[in-house]
Amino acid sequence: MNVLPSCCYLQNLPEELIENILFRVPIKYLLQLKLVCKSLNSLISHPKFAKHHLRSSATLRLVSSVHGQNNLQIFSINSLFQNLSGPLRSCTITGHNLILGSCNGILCLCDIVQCHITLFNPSTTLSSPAFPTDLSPGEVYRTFHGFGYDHVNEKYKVLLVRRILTETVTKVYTFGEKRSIRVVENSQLYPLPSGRLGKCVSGTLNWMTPKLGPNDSVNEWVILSFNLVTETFGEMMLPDGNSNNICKPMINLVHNCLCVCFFDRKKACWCVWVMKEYGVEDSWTNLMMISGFVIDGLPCIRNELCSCIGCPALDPLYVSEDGMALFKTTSCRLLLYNPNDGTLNCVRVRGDIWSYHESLVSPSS
Amino acid sequence: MQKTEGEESKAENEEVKQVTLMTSDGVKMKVEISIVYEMEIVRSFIEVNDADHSVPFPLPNVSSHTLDLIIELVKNEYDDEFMKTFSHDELKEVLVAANYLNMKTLLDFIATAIANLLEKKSVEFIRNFFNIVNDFTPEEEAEIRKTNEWVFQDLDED
Repeated sequence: MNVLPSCCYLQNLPEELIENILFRVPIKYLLQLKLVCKSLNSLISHPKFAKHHLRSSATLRLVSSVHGQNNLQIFSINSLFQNLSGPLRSCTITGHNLILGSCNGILCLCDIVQCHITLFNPSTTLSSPAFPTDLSPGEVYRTFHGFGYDHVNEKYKVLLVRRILTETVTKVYTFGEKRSIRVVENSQLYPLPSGRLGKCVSGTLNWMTPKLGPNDSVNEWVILSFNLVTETFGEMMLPDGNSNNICKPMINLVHNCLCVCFFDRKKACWCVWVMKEYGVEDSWTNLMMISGFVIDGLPCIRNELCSCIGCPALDPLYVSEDGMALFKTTSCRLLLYNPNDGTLNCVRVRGDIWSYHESLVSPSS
Repeated sequence: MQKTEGEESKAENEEVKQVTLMTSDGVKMKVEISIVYEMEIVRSFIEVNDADHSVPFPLPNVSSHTLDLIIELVKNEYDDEFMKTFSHDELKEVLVAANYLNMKTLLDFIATAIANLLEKKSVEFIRNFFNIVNDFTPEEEAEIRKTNEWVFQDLDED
């Protein structure tokens, strides 16, 4: 009988199995593995590997940027839940930047003074070339905007909507080897200043937007969406019908799905919903309802006082399998919600906070 | 009489619940069908052909030693402690076999275990594990270190 010693198959593990293992290794160690040999280096450096890795096992991190400082602080979500609030590390960036968005592990930074936009991967610390805009210094604080990936044309795009006096101008900046700028049709709706950062999912950007009634009062909340492939605006309904009860709605991504969090006046609790299948209004699923929570250091949040001025909106950043949740408030604080005892603990993290996936995706692709 | 009947039916059941597998080193092994059903490659064959379970199903890429380890792992519901007793070669053998047999849960388990083992290990350890020879020149190595500088400054323990 032809019997091979069993280790003979293993002189070279098939590449698909090596990949299968590497997908499970955190980015930092993965980048160290580039030193092992040339073939492992080219495997890890390949754009296809970056895509697969992003889809299969990317770790979610938080990043904060403080106005006027030229570095970003990176936080581990696990550490925050273990009351270790210090950053994992920081990375230096050039200029004073505002984060315009996060997608595929890449952050879009806008230099407030130079007014150019750059794509930056905080995991690899690589940047794209700067893309000049026609914004004036500081104007980015008054635009509404979003950054995302057009998966059909495989391009990163930034949408900037400027209002100059009464005129609105909407432009799409497309990154890549041949970058381009295109003026597109304006949206009929305009998000509030607190909701002007678009969130990217499935080739779209999304903003929580009011529909104004008489006297500019909020009549109804809708999700304004921008399709990055067709470069057109659309609208989607919020979950749970009657939007009269909705107070302080925020929109973000949780588990790569669109997620909204708002205070429901009628139910007197905070509700978190995810849209499991993007664009399908029937797929809105209630993730959690938070009522009667115990507050640590935030005496102003009481359910019955949710509309008081001191009470922040809750921007959902993360929900774990067992219902632990992380919210960003409009006042630069993070709230950790523990469903077991209903407590909300406050962590102070300076600056503007975004979540991103650790990825190897190249910002110049 | 009743006792005999009981024994007979028990014996029949056992017959039904086992599948004979023939390993690469020619060993015939009777394996519980619940374990065999995790092996998609065998399961689909059995289901399609409604095969006679006593005819050995050949597994030309899996040794009897590896199959033993796999059976123990599945029986122990993927026990980490048991797996920690595996040598590096055994880990790789089980990985290759899990892939060949199309055992999704086992493949996930073993690939994660190997990833955890490799994490925080030296580059030399990784080379030994995969039987890889360093083919970089010192200049090329320095270049890689330079472009990924933060990775090589041990800052985070996360």
